Amino acid sequence: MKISLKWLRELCPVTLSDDEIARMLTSIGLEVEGSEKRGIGPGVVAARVVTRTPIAGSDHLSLCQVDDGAGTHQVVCGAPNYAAGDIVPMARPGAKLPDGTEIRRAKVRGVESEGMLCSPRELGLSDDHSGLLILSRDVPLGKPLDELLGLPDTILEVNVTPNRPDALSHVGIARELSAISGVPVRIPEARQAGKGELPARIDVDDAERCPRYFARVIEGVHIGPSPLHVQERLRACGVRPISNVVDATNLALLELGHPLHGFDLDQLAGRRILVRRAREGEPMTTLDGKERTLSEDDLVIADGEKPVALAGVMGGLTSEVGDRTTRILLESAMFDPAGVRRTSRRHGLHTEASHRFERGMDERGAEHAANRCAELIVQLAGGRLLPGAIDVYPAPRGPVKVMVRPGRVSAVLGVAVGEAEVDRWLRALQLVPVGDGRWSVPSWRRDLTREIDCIEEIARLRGYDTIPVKLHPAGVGETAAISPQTRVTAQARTALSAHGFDEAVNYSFLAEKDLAVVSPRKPVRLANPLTSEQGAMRTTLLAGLLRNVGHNLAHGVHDVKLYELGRVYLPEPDARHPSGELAWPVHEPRRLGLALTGARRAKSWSGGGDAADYYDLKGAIEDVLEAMGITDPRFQPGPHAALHPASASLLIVAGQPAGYLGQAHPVVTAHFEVPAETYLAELDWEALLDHSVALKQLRGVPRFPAVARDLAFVVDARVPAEKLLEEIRAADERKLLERVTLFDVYRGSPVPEGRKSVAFGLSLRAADRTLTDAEADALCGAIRDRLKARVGAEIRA
Amino acid sequence: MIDRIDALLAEARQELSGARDEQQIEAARVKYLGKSGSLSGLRKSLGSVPAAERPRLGKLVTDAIAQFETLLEEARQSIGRREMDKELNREKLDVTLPGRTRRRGHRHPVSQAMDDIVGIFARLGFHVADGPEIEWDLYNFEMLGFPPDHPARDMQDTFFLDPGSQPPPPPGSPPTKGAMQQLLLRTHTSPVQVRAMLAQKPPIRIICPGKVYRSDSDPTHTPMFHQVECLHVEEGISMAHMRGTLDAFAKAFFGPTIQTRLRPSYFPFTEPSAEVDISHPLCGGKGCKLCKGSGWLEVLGAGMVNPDVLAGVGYDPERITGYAFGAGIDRLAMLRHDLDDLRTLFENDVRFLEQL
Repeated sequence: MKISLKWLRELCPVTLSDDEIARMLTSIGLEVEGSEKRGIGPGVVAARVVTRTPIAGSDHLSLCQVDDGAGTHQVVCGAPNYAAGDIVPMARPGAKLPDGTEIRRAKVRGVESEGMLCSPRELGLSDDHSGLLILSRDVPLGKPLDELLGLPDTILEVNVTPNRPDALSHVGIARELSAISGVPVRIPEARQAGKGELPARIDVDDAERCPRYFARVIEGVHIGPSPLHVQERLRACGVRPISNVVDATNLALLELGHPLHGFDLDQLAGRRILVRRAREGEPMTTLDGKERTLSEDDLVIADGEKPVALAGVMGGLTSEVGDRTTRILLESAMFDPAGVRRTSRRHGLHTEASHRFERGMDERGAEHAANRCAELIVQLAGGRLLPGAIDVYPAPRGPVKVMVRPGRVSAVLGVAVGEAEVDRWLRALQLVPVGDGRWSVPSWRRDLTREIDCIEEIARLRGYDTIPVKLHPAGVGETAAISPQTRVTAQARTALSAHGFDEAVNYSFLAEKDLAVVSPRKPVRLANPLTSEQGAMRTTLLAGLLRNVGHNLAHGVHDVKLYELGRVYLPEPDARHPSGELAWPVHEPRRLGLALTGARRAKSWSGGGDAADYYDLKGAIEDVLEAMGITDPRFQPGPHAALHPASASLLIVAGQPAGYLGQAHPVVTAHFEVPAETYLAELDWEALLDHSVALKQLRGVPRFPAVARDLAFVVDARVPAEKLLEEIRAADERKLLERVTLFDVYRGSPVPEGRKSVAFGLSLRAADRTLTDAEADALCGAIRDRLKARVGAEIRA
Repeated sequence: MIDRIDALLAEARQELSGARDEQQIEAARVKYLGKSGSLSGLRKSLGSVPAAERPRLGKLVTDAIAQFETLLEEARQSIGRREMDKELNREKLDVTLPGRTRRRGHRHPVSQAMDDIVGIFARLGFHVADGPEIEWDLYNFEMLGFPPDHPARDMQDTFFLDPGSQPPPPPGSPPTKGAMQQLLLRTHTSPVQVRAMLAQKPPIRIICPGKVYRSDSDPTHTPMFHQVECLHVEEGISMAHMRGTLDAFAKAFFGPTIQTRLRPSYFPFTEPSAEVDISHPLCGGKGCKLCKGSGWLEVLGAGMVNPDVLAGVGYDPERITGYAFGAGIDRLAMLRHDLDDLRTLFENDVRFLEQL
């Protein structure tokens, strides 16, 4: 909301500086978001064109003799729209225009020019640059333009929160300024309508949607432009001047906050108004020239035949006030906020009127607004205000009464607030005590219906900075324990960092086509995404991570290791949360996603630069699991839509699948434009947490020495390493094997075609004694025998 | 004889300290302790001293020999060390060659800030609560004082879900009891307030960090961002406690010199409501370009829980009061890293992340 400080000072004559006013308003919840100075400066004055002579050799320039009251000057001017005798703005040499242009004596076409005649745009008044601003003939010569326009002024941009429709006007802000400064507010008076029969009929069909309809009639108006200072005031507040009658309704709106509408009474069929619901599909053309199809939920102002306005939103074209209008029916009504909002949204029409009605207007104030506006119309457009009004107001609202207990005020604010102080602030807001601690609320404060509403008023006026700072005892003694989840998550993140993975955070929504390439699941879709690239809720973290790999590659970063820990959104029942009212609408499990491409280690003088592969990814995952205290994870081949069949594999934790990993499928790498050697994993974080151990049990180190043995076997190349490890462990009946390290895999001569050599380092230890060589030999023998029997292993020397 | 012992020892010390190699040491040993060595000679000459003197002088001689042997040992070690030093100094590394590093991974600034916040609130007695990001209108808006067709809904541009892609509502959930079926992406973490209060009785002290969504995109707004919700509800809670918690949080997160300031504002689910500013960490509240000269930055919204919200979850607002606030984590993270374009946070460009 734009507020003219000059206007505000007329309504509440404080002696504060502009900055002080802005600070004060902000401190009571009317946040001033910016300010703009308006003014032309003293060097631009009214002057009469005495003569206008075309300059030879130019098709548009004229040499003018101009009288600015102090003398005659010669000025060269190229505008087309003036004649000798016109009064126009002249910028004297030395004047500085609002756009920064400095006016100097200059030679134009060899002719001396002692100033400049100005268009509205050059004065910063509007965008009109079609010709000079022509002033009224009665303007005294030499009068500064600023004086004519009511400038200089400062315009504040005030952010009015949705609960304060009463503050959407200059009077509204003036009331607030008055409450905090103590300077009484001066609201312009308006005479009551009195008694009289009006030449119109008004009926309201839907009193729920239109609790009050108040109207007055003005006859004999002359439509024309408003005086310059009125136009300037409207423009400064962001409203385009149109004609004197429309400008008067807008002026009243900006002053009092109540939306008003003037109809051309003679264009209303049957000179009647009917406030009713629209018929489904009924057509209507609004003032903006748009043909609209109405719904039964739209409230309209109709005349004897058809809708002439969308109630509380916008007038219609047929009854618009035009050049030939002489009789005005002035509407000042109250419409149901929710209804106006529905209509406004349905038709995509957000107007000054709908903005206020959907927040709730003061139905008692509607009368004063109409009376004030009617007087403004007569002031600006002439004519005669007919005595009397039509007031359809079947159920007048009584004032709201609220109990305010000083004890409660103190308890909520945490500081002692006595009766006298409660009294002072509520009176400042024009609440009236009605006895027993109860207060009558002024009709414009529709937001004050409960004690807590008044407590907030007291708090904001006495200042939030007067509330003390107290730390609750919970902040002193009862610290919350570190949860196991927090601890395990931190441990996993440390492992990921150690493996060089950077953490990514992606949007939860992305293009459905990206998801489809890596997951067969149907996603939940957004009804109103910003772009189709953000239209589907992710069902996997892989698509986002692949996009990240692509982004980095496109920016010349080839070695990428990323992880993301976040939710996916699956349109299916969620068993992890209680059913009933606390249910989660869709399943939102957390996942750990990894993506890896490029060098295992950066190339340097000492090596590095080798491409990372499946085992780098798997090793990182193994370390993460180890950090989380997950014992005995297993990996086994298993297909996945996003993964290359050669390495697609499942992670098994406690016998259940808990994720998958492998090289990206060629179709996937092609779609996301990433290298073929891109490796992906996505783990079920909820399952990992379920099997994690936050605080591990620790044991002392062994007291007896270990015995080391190496064993190498030649087996069929298709035998998986895990099978060999299983058999080795199975052979260890006396549980002497402390650790088995697979340290070499070799294929090629002299190992026969189709077979491979696999070498293991064994560490043997007994907890209670030093092992003898004989015991170690016996175990190695047992292992050899078992592998020979079970997998046809030959022993290598 | 005593003089003779001292003189011999002094002479031997002199000789050994000048020894360059093993031969010279051996020569000294022979000279003093050999068959005809001078110290050996002293021992032999003990026979010629009076018997009464013999034990005393005998001990002196034995000590002198022991001392000489120590000197001998020291001289040997010193030569060994010298030879070792010579050996070790033969070749040197180029210590200016870069070290063999393993590139560490980097945390995301938002998740790092989130962890810090959770830690700070844990010390203030707050537990972490969780809630869905895909939420019913009822919890995101209605029970927080945003009835349908209320202009306050304009404060939060909302993403709605396509009803055709929604799963059926779970048994006993609000839509099956007649509430609006419409699902949306939560626009704030505040629905967790409602869920927490429906789930348990006061006292409640929770925070909820998480993702929230609004359909808005420019350098200072991304359609997804992170908030942390704080809710403290029990008997006897006042706005002064709210200030206490806010102040403690701001100082823990930004540093002990940070000041907080409250300005009246409006949120449908709190009353009184406040915008909370902190003194700008960069300019120390003096005013600079980033804070538009004011010295203050708006970082969160706060307020006393609206009695209607408390009544809506079955609490008695006369007895139970509380405060709540919600802060944008991304903005807090940006502030402490001096970053100005929010969108950078979600590009996941390695060159950005590895600065952390």
